[in-house]
Amino acid sequence: MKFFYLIIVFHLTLCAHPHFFIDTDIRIEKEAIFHRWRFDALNSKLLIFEFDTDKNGILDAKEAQHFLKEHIEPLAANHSNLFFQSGEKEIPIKPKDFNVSIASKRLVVTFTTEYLFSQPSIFCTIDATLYMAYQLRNVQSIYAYDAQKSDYDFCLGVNP
Amino acid sequence: MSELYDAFLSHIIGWQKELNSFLTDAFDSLESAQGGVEVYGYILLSAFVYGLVHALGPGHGKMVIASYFLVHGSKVRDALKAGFLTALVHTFSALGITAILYLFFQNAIMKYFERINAHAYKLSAIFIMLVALFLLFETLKERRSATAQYASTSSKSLLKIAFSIGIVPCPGVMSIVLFSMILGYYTLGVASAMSMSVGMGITMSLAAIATTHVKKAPFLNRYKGVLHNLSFVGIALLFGLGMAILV
Repeated sequence: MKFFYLIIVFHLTLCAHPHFFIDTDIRIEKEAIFHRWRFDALNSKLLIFEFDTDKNGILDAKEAQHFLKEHIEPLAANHSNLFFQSGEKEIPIKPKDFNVSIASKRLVVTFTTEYLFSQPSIFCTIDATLYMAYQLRNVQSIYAYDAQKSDYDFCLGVNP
Repeated sequence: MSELYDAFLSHIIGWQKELNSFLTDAFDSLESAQGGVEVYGYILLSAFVYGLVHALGPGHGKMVIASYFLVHGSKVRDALKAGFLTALVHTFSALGITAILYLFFQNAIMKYFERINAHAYKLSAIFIMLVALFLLFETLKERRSATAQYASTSSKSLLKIAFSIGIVPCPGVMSIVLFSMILGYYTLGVASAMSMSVGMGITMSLAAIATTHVKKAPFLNRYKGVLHNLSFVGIALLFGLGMAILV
């Protein structure tokens, strides 16, 4: 059965390709991880054109809410493309404090995941459909970590 | 094998990101009036390379085209035609939808784009399953006839293949055309889409041509029986792919 799933997943990846390229910054604190997703210039332009309805170059509360509802809330069905594992156990994490803004013509989404690092843990950012390609740019951590990254996903092994 | 595929995928995505960034910078220099006529050429060339690389990555129906020519067999000329026709349908589908979205749904372009894309995938899945059934019919027919020849594929069949795969609008083309429309460069946007289409056509044709060569390879004559049976595995995988996209 596992083989069957592997075949299906392999074929699904064969028909998907990234639409959004997202530069990701991570900051690891004692009880939380802070995420910053910066969209590529091309898609930022398209999204800003659509969501900055008054064309003032700033996303006000209503416009930001609209963007989050359309583009970030649906990701919840896939754990917001975040996967946490502590030991052998997968940990359910609920991201919060989502915010979106425009910085240097780029759309930037920030949010937090609360997590107390009590033992070595792994967390990954990956979109299995490859619709969003996440590239790790910068990590700040109070703990030692190892990064494994590609041009479309990454995992961090954190050792508290 | 999986590591090799991951590394390949990572490179393709990395290049696409770079090209995406080149194109954005070029449009920026046009907008700020820093770039001259040469920037138009640079944009068209970048779009062409973007098309080449974009189609190298997952999607765009290379597997469907390859399976078709592997099972059906055909002439190189037909493989070339199939690749370019698919790229053209893929591009025109994107151009048409982009124009409609830009003209009538400016406040929800990306939302509708994603919805249309999802529906187009489902439609394409049904066509892929139909292609698999057609290939099954052809393979069974070939089994009955001992003297199978690689006859020309009719233009009608090529169009059906191109339409079944290309109906899904290319998100890459849509993004670039939308981007240029927003900046007011309508003609350059359409020209970039066509340039990208030529690039995609080359990559897709190469995939098709490679499979026609595999099918004709003389050393494989010894394994004709095994290969014939493997055709059924290929058809089943193609049908499974359609099912997986559909559900």
